[in-house]
Amino acid sequence: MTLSDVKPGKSYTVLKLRDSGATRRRIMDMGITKGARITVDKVAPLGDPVDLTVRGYHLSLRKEDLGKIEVAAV
Amino acid sequence: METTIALVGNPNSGKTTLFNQLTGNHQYVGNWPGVTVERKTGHLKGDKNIRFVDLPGIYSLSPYSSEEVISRNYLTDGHPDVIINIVDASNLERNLYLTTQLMEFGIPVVVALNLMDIVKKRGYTIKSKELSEQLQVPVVEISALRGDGLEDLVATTVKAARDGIMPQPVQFTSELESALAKIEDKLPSVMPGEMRRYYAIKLFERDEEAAEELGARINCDDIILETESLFDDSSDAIITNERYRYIESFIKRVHKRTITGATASEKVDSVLTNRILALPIFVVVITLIYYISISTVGTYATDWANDGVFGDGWWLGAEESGLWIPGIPAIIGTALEAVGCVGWLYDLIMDGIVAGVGAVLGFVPQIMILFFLLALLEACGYMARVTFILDRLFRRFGLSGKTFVPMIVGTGCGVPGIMASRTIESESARRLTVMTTTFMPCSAKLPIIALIATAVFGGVWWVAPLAYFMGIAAIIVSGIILRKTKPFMGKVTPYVMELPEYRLPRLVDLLRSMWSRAWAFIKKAGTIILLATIVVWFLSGYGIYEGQFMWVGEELMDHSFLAYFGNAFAWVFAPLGFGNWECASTVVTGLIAKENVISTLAIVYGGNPDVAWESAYLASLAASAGSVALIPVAAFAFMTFQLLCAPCFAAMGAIKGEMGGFNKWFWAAIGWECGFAYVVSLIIFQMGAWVVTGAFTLGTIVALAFLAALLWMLFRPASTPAAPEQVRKTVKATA
Repeated sequence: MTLSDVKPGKSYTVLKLRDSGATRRRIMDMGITKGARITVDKVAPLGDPVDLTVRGYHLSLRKEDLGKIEVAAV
Repeated sequence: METTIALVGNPNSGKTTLFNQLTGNHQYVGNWPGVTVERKTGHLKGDKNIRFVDLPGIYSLSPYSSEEVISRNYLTDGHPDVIINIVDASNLERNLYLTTQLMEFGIPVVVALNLMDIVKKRGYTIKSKELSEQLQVPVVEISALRGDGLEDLVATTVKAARDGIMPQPVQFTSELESALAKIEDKLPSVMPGEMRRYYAIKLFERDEEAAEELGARINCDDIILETESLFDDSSDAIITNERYRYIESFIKRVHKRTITGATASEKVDSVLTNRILALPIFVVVITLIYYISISTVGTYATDWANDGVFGDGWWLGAEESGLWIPGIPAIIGTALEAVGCVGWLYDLIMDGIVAGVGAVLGFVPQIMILFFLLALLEACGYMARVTFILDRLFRRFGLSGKTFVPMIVGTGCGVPGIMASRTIESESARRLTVMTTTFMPCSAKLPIIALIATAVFGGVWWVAPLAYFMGIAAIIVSGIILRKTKPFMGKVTPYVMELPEYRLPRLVDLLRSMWSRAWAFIKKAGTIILLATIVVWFLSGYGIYEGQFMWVGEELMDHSFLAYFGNAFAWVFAPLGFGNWECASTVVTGLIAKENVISTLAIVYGGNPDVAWESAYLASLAASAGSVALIPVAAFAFMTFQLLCAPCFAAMGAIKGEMGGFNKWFWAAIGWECGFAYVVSLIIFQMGAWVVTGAFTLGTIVALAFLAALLWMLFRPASTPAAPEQVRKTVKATA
């Protein structure tokens, strides 16, 4: 399961990041690494991007990039 | 001995506030990532031997954005004596990630735990002593905003520089350490010991930027591939994971949360970024800002300034019975008459300088209110939410929500707006942003909007907001059209955005931000605009009549040099409804500074003391447009052209800087801006004329053709498939 399939209000653990390149590295730098806990908070008014809580702060990412983050429900 | 201190920290960690507190400087502070795009230096207040270098806010030292490259190049080549790593204590875990990287440069590090006041208010505890023991570097608690702990910070930092104790880099798991050791062995033997680990890690991460710095190609593919298969992950992910694992290993010991549930900031966000309410609130906020600053409060203030201070004068107290305070022109006029000033000098000062510069200075109150509201918007944290709300919209046009930040900054001044484009990661989207940012009306264009709104449309509320939404529309339409052309095709721009906590800004910071920008505007009025008004006055006052060089004055102004000059290309603007020499010459004087548009109009139409120059301007528009009924249409086309066409020389310089010289990108930007402005204004005037007069002319056909072409470019499918996006590699730091 990836983060793009998940529902707001739930928490997940990161298993793996697919893909490669600059965006992936930036996402990792922001704290989305293997084992990190992520809570999906809400979706933007136009359906994208998504507001997440990771490592105690709010980060927003597009669904397209969320689809590259494999997670498991906590 | 001089001590150089580098200030490094995450975006929005309060770095610029700290820099201002330490140096007594008044750098501009905002609550969204990416305010500092270049490095700045300053001395400690009262001690010239301590120098601070404020580096752009960064999350990491990867080579993927220009800020990161500027910062790491400074740390490897600039040889600071010590680093102050400013850490947002309310966001400790992610901020420490950069700390683990800074500890690898072989430079002493002092951690400044900022925002401790917010941390305490939110019910967190941070044990800074334990954190210091864990990291083996000094940790000082501060509040940059309130100035707490700064003396301690400076003393600790100077001591750390003097002692020269290098931080111990984070130890990774043994398999990774042995791989890094093997790479270190391959590094040139001349490299000093403290830099070896940094470069070993960078080579392991396949960081091409760092590999290039080393010069000689060092092959460590075998080591990397072996380690990658061992960890079943890519090399840069291995390093990132290890850093965060290290932080996780102790974060619970030093950082405790005693209150649970949503924070105040999250409660505010549940309204402001609410799925249904967010967009209406955004429209209301933007409308209010421009409505307040231009249409209501701003207008009262500007009317007072224009009719009172720079006009006849005003009543202090009750009308007719209070004290009559004469306006500046009256005071200067009386003074000049008293000293028996010669006629031509009197005219130059009164009709040239006072009329021209006064017409510009009259807008200072509106501009101050706009700057105050923009500073409030930036400082509270709403701007980051705007990128979140609008990203979906902008992405459709190949841009990211981050494009909105240069746009909003651009409403103050185009130069920082253009420079703010550097936070955009993708090269093609960044170029596109540089090309289109100045479509947003900057504060210097505000007088033009105010003139049209009041003199032509009688002060209706919607003209000013409309001008801003028109700027947004111009950017979006340009984005769609250009994205379908080959040079701008590319993958979608990435969007990875931190949503910072809302903060209540201090009034003094807002006022300071407002004043520093308003002062720049006033200074410009006193220098470049003053000079331009003198030149314009001479060119419009003197001319050649019946073969003789002479003073042409008001009656014969059509024979002035400015008239000859304007007439040479006024025909270009005839299809736009303002093909007279007066308006044509403002297009050129506007390139020096956009304020000149109004000051020039005030001079060339201000000859007759019995008629307000605004009325003379409208009368001449009626003549060039063809009828009195067409005045609003021609005036609106005039405003549209002035708002959208090429910006002033200063902003063109910024475009040149961001495009990398006077190259094809620069000329494409200027060409697109002028062409787009012309086509849109022509459509507005011709279609408007058709609606108002009912006459279908050749101009209507041309306008319809242009409109059809624009629509085709908007809706045609992108012909060739998108080419893979190039990751921006090297950016030449201008600092």
